[in-house]
Amino acid sequence: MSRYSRRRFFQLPWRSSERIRAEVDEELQFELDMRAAVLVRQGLSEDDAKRRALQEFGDIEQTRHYCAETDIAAQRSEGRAEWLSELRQDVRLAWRGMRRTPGFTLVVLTTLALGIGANTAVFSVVRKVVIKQLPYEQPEHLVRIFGATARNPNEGGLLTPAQVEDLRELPTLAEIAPFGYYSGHTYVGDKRTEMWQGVTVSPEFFTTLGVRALLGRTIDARDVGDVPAPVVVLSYTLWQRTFGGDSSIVGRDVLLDGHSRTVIGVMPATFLSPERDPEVWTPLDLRAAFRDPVAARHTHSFRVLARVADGVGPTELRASLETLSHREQQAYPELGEGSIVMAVPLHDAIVDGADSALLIVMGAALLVLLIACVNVAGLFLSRAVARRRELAVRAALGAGRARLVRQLLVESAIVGLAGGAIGVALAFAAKHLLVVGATMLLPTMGDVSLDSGVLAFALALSASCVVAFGIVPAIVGTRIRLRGALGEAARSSGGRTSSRLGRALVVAQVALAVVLLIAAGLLGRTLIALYGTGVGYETGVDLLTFGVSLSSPAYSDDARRLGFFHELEEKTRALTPVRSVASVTVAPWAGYTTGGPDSIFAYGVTAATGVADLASEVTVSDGYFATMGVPVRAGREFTERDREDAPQVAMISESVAHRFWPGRNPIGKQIRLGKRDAPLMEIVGVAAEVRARPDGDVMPTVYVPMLQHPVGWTSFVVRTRGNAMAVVPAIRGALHEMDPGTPLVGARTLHDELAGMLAPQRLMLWLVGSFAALALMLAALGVYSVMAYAVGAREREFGIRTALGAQRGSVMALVLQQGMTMSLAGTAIGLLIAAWATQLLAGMLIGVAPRDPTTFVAIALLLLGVSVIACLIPAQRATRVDPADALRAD
Amino acid sequence: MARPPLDLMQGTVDVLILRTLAWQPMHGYGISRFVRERSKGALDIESAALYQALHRLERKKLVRSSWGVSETNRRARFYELTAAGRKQLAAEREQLRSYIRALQLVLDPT
Repeated sequence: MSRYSRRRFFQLPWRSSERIRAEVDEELQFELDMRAAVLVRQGLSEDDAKRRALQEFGDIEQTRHYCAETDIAAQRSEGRAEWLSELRQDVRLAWRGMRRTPGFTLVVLTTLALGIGANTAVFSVVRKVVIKQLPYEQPEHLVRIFGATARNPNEGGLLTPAQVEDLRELPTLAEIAPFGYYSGHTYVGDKRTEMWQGVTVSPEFFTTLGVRALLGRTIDARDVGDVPAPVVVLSYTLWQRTFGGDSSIVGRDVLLDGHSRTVIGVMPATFLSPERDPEVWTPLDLRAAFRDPVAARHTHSFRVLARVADGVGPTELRASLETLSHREQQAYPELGEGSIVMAVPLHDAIVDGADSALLIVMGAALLVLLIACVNVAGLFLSRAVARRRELAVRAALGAGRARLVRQLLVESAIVGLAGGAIGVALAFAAKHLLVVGATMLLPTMGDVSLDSGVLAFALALSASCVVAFGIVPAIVGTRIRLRGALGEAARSSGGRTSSRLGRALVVAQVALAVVLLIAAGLLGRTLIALYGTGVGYETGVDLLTFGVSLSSPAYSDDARRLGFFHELEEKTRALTPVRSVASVTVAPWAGYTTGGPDSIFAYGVTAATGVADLASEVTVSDGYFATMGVPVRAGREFTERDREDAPQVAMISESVAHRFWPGRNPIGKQIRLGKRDAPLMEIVGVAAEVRARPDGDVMPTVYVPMLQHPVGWTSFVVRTRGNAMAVVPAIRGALHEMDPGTPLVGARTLHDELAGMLAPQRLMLWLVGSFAALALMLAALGVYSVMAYAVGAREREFGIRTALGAQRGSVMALVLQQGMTMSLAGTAIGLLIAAWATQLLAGMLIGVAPRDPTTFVAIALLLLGVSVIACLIPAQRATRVDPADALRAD
Repeated sequence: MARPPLDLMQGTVDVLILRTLAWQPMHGYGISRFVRERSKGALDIESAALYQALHRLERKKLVRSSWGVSETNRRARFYELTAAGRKQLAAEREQLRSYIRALQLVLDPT
């Protein structure tokens, strides 16, 4: 009774929408025709029959539509379900495959995890600096205003109070916010004494930035009346650290520098200071600076933050500042060289070159990841070739090429995503390290967050890696010819395309490794040069420095202060390991000056006007230069005889001597510092130049004796026998005995100080160096694995050669030749790329050219040497093939 | 045919189709003919409803279609019952029987 039906054994093929509709129409037409035929048999005409049949059908249009849509929807969900089940199968197979070859999986996962982790880590830092916006209101309109001279146009110069007032008149600037002195404040609490780093800010400071306090309020106009109000704003970290995040802190009084101040607010954790990282903010009253109008015009003491007026572009701003400088020079010719006022966008001022360094590190990290991907691609490729049989069987059973490629891609995807996940976990674990490193490059960095943006980056990176190392092996590996693949011969032949590809990949790896190694080499030589340049004073572990600040009212008397420091000096000198002690107000490494640079007037050089120049004023104790190891080029150092009642004396640095008395002896000449009618000082000595940093400029300096210029704070320098840190506890004890309320801050050796200065370069070298080492390892691994595979594939051939009498040496030479061809090609390409790429480093190289031939040659030799070693093992293996085995037919 | 509420009608058409196909695979015209003949002319499924039901059943994977040749030597779409369809048929049959029994209980004079 069965009427036909043709069954299908395989799945229904996919039909287009048109086809589906056509089939529905055909089906319904069949129904109509059958009915019409019956009606015709009953006696109707053909046309009548057709019409009747149509009528009797019902709503045919709706039915057509309904049936077609149903079929289309069914096909779609069917397809999706099938696709999903295939995918699940692929995943299961891939998982099994991974477990079966744990060594391979481990190597691949490690490689990827390191590569992706490193990139994620670097990205999280780069993002904050380069891409993310500063946390202020409309930060692109904010600028820093600097003062400089034509001679010394480096940024960082301070402005005079008069200049600040002049700035207020400019129509191009909407808001001016001077801020000033950075100093340490001694906080005496119930349980402990701390030293807080603080800065004084004008009432406009926070409003210009457009930031609000987290608790309470920020400093505003209320806090500058006749005198600045005794208030203070705390930073978030300080609030957490010292007050445990107690929200009742606002309104409480704290004892700061012996005076009571009220805490009026706490800044949020996201607040980024435009300079340094102060813990407290106190009010600054500019008006006090104007009590002496002459000093107001001459003393450089302020930093300025400003907001550019709406619609004002950089050229307009620059022009207005030039006009201001020009007008000042005209009105006050005794300013001599005249100061220039210039503006720099706040973002650049804060970031200051850190972004280029970071971008280079990012580039290096990406290069390593690229090498890692190439490596992994090579591994996948050789694996695919090894599995040709398995794939061929699958193909024979009906799997299309696309299906096979997809399966291989799924394997790559699993590995790629797993590697990425591990990498992110690693980056997360190393977060602390990241913050430390980032702060070295950019002091105001703050926290580095690994948030959704970073995760998205990691995901995108993992995905690109998968594509990078997955696609090519998948496509090449599935190029199978069934007969060839299934036959026995499949085992010995490597497949010409895939081995050529494998070799090309290794060449690429070697080239990239060369580039990284050269970069690391250049950075290394830079660091050596920096350490070699020195800073003009000794920087050993036997030199200790620490700061002491006398801020309580008990020390308002000059004599008291001098007495205190003298006593401390004596007590320190009395300790056994100590060889000498000295103190200085502004140590060279501090890099900033309290006021100044100030104008120097050299008396008697030109009669009428005197030549003015700018130099820093530094107060030192006697014996300072000997302790620091700074040579005295002429004359003498200060002694205890240069006291208050003795004639005013000074020492100058070499550059000042050269400026005013080139080729002549400045000893005995007179200068005055600051104002035209400041007291004259006699020059008694010339000291060698010192620098703030090895790569910094020299700082023309005028030194004055502490006994004649008593100060309330100072940095001590102690030279000891052996490691200087050993005496710190003793000194701390002595200080505590003298006054428990005065802490000793910042004790460190000058060796560490120098290391700190060079921290950015050291960090860069460490990072790029690690990447380079990793790249070298990967490249060596690449060479080794390709050669090992090649030898394995040609075992028979080597066996035959040996059987025919070839010497061990010649067989090894054969293998070496093939391997070295690859590395030579890679090295050559790498050198070419490096020759171009190192230009990017030019900005941070010191003492070595970007295309330094020694470095290039050395790295090339290194790589070739490593390649030889990598080839040796496979070469050895080739010689050990038993000819008898090889000759046996398989 | 009387006009009961739509979903009941739909459900009835479905079970009729399934039962018919349990007998043997057929094309749509054959199904309506079978039902008409078996019910001695009492049940006449509207073609529109029938074909919509058939495609719906196929989407639910209760029936499977394939193109074959009809007794008149023309290309036609034949439907057959799947294993799931068979199970569904048993279930719906039972459900319908209970429904009818319930109706009878209410409608019967005793």
